[in-house]
Amino acid sequence: MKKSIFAVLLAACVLPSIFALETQFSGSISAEAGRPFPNVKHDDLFTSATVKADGELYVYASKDITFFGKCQTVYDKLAYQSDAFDASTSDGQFGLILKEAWLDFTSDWWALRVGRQINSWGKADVISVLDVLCPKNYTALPLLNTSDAYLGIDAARLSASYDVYSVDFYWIPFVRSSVLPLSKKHPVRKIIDEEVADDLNGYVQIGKVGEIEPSVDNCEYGFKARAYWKYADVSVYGFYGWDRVPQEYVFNGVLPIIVDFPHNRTKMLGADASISVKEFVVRLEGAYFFDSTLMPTLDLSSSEIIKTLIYEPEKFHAEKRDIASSVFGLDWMPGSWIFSAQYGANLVLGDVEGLACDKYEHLATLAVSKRLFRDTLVLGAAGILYFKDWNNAFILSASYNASDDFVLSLSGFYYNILTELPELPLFEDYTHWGGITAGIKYSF
Amino acid sequence: MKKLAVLGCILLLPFFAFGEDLTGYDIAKASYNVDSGKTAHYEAVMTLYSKKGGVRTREISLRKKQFEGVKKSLITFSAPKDVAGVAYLAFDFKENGDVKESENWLYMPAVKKVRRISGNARQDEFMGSDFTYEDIADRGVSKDDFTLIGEENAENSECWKIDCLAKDQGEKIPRRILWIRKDNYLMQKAELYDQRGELQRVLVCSDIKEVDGIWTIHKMVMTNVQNGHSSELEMKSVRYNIDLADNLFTVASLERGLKK
Repeated sequence: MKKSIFAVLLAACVLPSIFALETQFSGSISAEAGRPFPNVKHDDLFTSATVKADGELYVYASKDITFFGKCQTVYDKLAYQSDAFDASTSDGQFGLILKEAWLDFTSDWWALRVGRQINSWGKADVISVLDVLCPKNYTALPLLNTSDAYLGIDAARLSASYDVYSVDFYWIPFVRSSVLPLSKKHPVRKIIDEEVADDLNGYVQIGKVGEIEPSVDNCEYGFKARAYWKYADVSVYGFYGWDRVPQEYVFNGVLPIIVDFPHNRTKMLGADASISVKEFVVRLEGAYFFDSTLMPTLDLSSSEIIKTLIYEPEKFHAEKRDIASSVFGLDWMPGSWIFSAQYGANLVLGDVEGLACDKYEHLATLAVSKRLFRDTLVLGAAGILYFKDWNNAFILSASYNASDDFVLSLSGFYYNILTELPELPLFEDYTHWGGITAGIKYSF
Repeated sequence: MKKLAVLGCILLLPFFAFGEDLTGYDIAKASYNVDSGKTAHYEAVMTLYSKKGGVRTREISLRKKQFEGVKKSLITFSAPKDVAGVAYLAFDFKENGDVKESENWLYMPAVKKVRRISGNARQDEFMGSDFTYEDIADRGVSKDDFTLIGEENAENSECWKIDCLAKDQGEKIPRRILWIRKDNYLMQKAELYDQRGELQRVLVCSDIKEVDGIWTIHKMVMTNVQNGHSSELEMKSVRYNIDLADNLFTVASLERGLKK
């Protein structure tokens, strides 16, 4: 009771002060629903059924001090993204995500931002090799790296700038990992559970994604230094932290064997550049990852896997290799068109025999968009092609500003996995698959 | 008396001579060099009218600051909500007082990224309006050949009429005709011709008055005569020579995503 009274009194003192300051509030309400294309396998599923409400608040305490908060409430009828909620109902259908909440102090040449914040590293789209800082929400179908998928880091960012040079230092004491599509109701989780359970006779069960306990030893650090010169922007990056998506799986116990996914350290140095050449912009990105975790290949039958897990578990230990990754991109924006082509490559240094990766992997993306009717209609098409096995995916999208406040959207995706996968019925059902999603958004 | 008259003519002769020797370039240069303050901050409303009468509005803030050898401009959108936070930063590098090159960046708040855009993008439509980035920023006088083709009244003002031919005929608007006011060298009207030589857009400036001693255009209406659209840019607030921090005009500041 005393705590409640204290909280009310505190709010009564603080809230009027906040409302006495200059504030800017904005928000949006959006709804989205998606279904697979007719005649694909499992076309009775829904790929999405959500209603989201976003709210953003800027509070300007003075010329130099700003508070920003952004919250998202989600009603997800399918409970696919329940693991991404910071607070939720027990059925996983309704929840809250605190996207950002930071306090910013800005002076002439330095600035400090403290709190949950989203920062985007790198200049590439979709396949950035430098964007290791912020975790992402990978639960939406299709599993795309969209702008809404970014989750904030709980960090302090100290910035300094002089003329065309600036540098940011990050200290991240509370580590957050990306959210994977492993909630109980998610179709990806269901595939894993059913295939693993069916094929491995229930001897192997999916366990947990590891958490990183807050401690001095577990903090993350990052820096980004950049220069904006006449013809080129150049940035240099460094990151010492944890992988946002676990790269390792470990097997615990003996029948049932539990597969857990611990996090490993990520150590990266990288750079990018953006260069204007006439009507083109050339983008370059490169990153070097030290001691990246790679797992052995599981080219065994199910019974052999179980026997090996029981009698020779050391065969499933992760190994460490350095990896060099790069992306080359070209943007061309004639008039209301945007053409963007990218080529990305990964080179694993050292011996890769027995590891579940190729020494050299590469892919390409192509994206085209066209603005019509005075930017009220935007049509887009994008594709990605992996040169190993020619796995590919495509997405077509359209968004229409019915008014300054309402946006209607429609998108379709389709992917083809041509790699020879284990002969698992449920896996095979999804190797050629796609769907369509419609949405509406009101901004205020 | 006669001697006085002769003396007066001799004294006035240079002025007559100057008036007769004024070239299109001289007038364009004088117009370009009209005082616009060391710094400027405009709050404006851009209204877009479709052929069928549909109306959309954009609220923008435009800040400019003159640095040594470079003029920097920052345009930020505050409304409507779906474009709020979008910001455009332009550096116009000057040589001998004229814009030679420009570098441009666009901040997209949805992805928290700053994207460098090519210099050619300045000739593209500005956020769906009938203005281009170049219409709103500076073009300079080195990109065109100017010919004084006469004098004409435009919008009740005495003006010089100047034909401007782009040196690069590959530009989207290779020819413009400008009406420059004789009293204050501001542009009163412009006709913009496309690559086929056909009239594409007409710009009419109005509500021209002094603010802090600096002549300012408060309203610009750009009409696309080929498709019937028009856009109106109206200044709601204009301030000159105010204190604008240097670091406001940096890409780092753009990336911080602070709306003010």
